[in-house]
Amino acid sequence: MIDEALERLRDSNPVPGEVTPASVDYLLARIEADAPERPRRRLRARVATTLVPTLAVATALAVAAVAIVVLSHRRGGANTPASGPSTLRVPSRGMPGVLMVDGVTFEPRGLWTISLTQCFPCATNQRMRNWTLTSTDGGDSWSTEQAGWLNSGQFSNTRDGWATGATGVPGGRGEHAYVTHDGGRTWAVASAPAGWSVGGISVSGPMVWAIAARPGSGTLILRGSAAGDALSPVRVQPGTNDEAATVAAAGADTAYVDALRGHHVEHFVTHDGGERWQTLPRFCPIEGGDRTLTVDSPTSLWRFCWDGSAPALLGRSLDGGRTYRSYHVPAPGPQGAPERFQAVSGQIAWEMTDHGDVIRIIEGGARSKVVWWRKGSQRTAVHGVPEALTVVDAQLVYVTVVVPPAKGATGSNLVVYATNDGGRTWQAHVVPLPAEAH
Amino acid sequence: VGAQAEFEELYRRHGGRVLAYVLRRASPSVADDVVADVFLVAWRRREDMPANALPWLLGVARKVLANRRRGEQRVVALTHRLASGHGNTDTTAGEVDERVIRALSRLGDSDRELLMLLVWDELSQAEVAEALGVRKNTVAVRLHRARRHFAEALAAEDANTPQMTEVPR
Repeated sequence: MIDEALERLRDSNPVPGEVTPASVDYLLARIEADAPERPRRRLRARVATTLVPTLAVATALAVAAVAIVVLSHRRGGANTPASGPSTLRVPSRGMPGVLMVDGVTFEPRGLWTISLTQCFPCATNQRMRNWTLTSTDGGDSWSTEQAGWLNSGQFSNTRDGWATGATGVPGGRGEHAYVTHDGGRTWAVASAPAGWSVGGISVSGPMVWAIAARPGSGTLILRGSAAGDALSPVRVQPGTNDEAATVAAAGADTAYVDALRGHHVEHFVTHDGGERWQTLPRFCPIEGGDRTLTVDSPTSLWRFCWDGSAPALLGRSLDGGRTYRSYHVPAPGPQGAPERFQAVSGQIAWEMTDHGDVIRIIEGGARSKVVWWRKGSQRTAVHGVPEALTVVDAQLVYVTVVVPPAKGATGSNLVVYATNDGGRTWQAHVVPLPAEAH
Repeated sequence: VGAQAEFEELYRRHGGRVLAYVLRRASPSVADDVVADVFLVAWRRREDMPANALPWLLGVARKVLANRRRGEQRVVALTHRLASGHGNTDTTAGEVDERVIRALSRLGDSDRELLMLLVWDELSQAEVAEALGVRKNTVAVRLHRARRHFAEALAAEDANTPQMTEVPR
């Protein structure tokens, strides 16, 4: 019986053998963008012919630049105007290993939280540390705690915020909802049904909605006061067993739920706090193509549909998801996939691709503009990997970037870019990473 | 130049296997990025790389995926992807038996990864041990248990699935 079972497993291999990877040139370009110490096929010859004569001058400039950075750090201000990416200097002594941003919260008064995982060393057995970095003054100074991770926090007002996360091992089970009532300075585990993992939250106005899952038991839709400390199941559940379902709140009593049933994603909505649920028509014509849902009012929502080939399909509904107007949205950059889509009004939304391109969508989806193209454009804002996009309103946007180590440096750095004018100018905040991590 | 040539050769030799590994576990939309991340680590750690690099590369890929997937339901995603037809790329895949996938999803993470490395990625037990960062004896013990668990889970799935009956004309 065992051998037969394994034979059936072998026959059901979804990707048998090997497949054709991207060209090695793509890989080299990608590595070129991520870490300057990787192979530089074309630059190497130039170095010998053009850079050597200016080496002494460059060295002197580098020393001066380091001195400026050191002095600015001693003054307690790590902020650098982002007049251009080439002007940004990060400490040469960064955090070793691979850094990954788990979640960020940016509260407009200047209370910022970044949850960070450090994988070090990554190439041997899994060894990871989790850090929570908090600033109460808009990124000028930071405190650090080695702790579990928080994921994608959302604020109801300047005090009350919610996030998901887990303490302990990254990727471990038993995710909780976390709540803060002091604008993100401290977080505590919120009360929720025992044995259920809270995997997603959505805060809108005075209420917070959440999805909880338990293997074999399906999902629960939870709801609570954003000013409180507890989440409880709504009286009527939409009847989904998809443990990866998502919820998007739109006001105190309205929430949209997307859940997989069979091969299709089903859409549900309640407008009375979970007393009744309606099933909505599908927007995305592609199986498995439903990506993101964001809402900006109880009846105004945006859907993203993407099947792996650009451009993506953006759907805009003004009648609570009954009908949509469709737009094609570009996904610039080599093989960039649209993700981290966030609407801020009925007219304006922001999108970041998985390669870090940042796009501002206006006129309800009819037009879009690349405000931050990671590579291949003068708009390139930073040498690094954008990890998180946080849209507070139409003008105030944060992009959190991991900057891989430059040649001769010992580790990566973390930079928060903020714009308060819809992406025309960016302010850079170099996040000082904990010394004990070196 | 020598290091770069060796690196390119490493990618040509193993890039397809690493990509296939990733595609079995993640969305095609992130696969190229994950592979690039794996080889970025490989470039940085090239002096630590063993002669048989594939298990080492798959071990790195496993960690990169683990970090990208934090909080996600891995097998749910896999099942979703298979069900939506995105599991196949540019190869001719066999017909996926959904009962097999469901049985696989019933296993614990360690059992499932062990079987997938052994059966789908076609690693030897020694290579699986290297990819997982455990001793070979540990793999042998876990494998015995995982095979039994999988056979039981598959039998349960078979029992729960109505049999198709051909209607005589």
